[in-house]
Amino acid sequence: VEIGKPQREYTIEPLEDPAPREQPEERPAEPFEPELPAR
Amino acid sequence: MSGAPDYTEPVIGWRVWFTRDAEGKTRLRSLFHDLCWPVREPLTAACLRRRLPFRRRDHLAPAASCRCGIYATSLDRVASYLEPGWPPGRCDPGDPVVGRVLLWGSVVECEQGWRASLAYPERLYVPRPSTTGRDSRAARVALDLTDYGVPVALLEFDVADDIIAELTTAAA
Repeated sequence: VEIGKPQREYTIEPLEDPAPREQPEERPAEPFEPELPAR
Repeated sequence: MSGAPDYTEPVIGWRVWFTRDAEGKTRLRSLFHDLCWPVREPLTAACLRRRLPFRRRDHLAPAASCRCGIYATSLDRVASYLEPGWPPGRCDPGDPVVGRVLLWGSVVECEQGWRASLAYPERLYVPRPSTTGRDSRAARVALDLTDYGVPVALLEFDVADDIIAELTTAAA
């Protein structure tokens, strides 16, 4: 692709990630032992 | 990148891709390099110019003094890459896809476009010749490309100029 000669240079750091990255799968809640009241 | 950035909004440009089959799914491929665009993560530029012994040292892409980086340009300039039979001499370059692309990181702004270090498609249009039926290959390509997580649309056309006219109207 012909886009001509460079005119200027700069940096861009977006505030939000422009790529829609994979959402990490939510871990299923682990079963837990209910705490029994002390006798 | 070091220090404060100059801008916080990505540049939006236009470009054309070909498609390539990768593990049974259609993926975007750069026009001039056999380079697959990753799904759901940015493409990072690297200088792919042939490394010859007398060539200067490797550098970060894009370098203003080189021609490297991820390219984008204006909509009217991408039309020539959508003509049937382009590029000449290639048997099966794959299906062309046109779309808007976000560019960020280090950017070299040129007279008619940009070269950048990071890029990701913003929306994709899959041209479908109006002579083909509804169950065309284009429809399957478009479906696969939804994996990129951006809007994908089919675009019926007779000649490449139709695509540009349609997209110009949509972008207005």
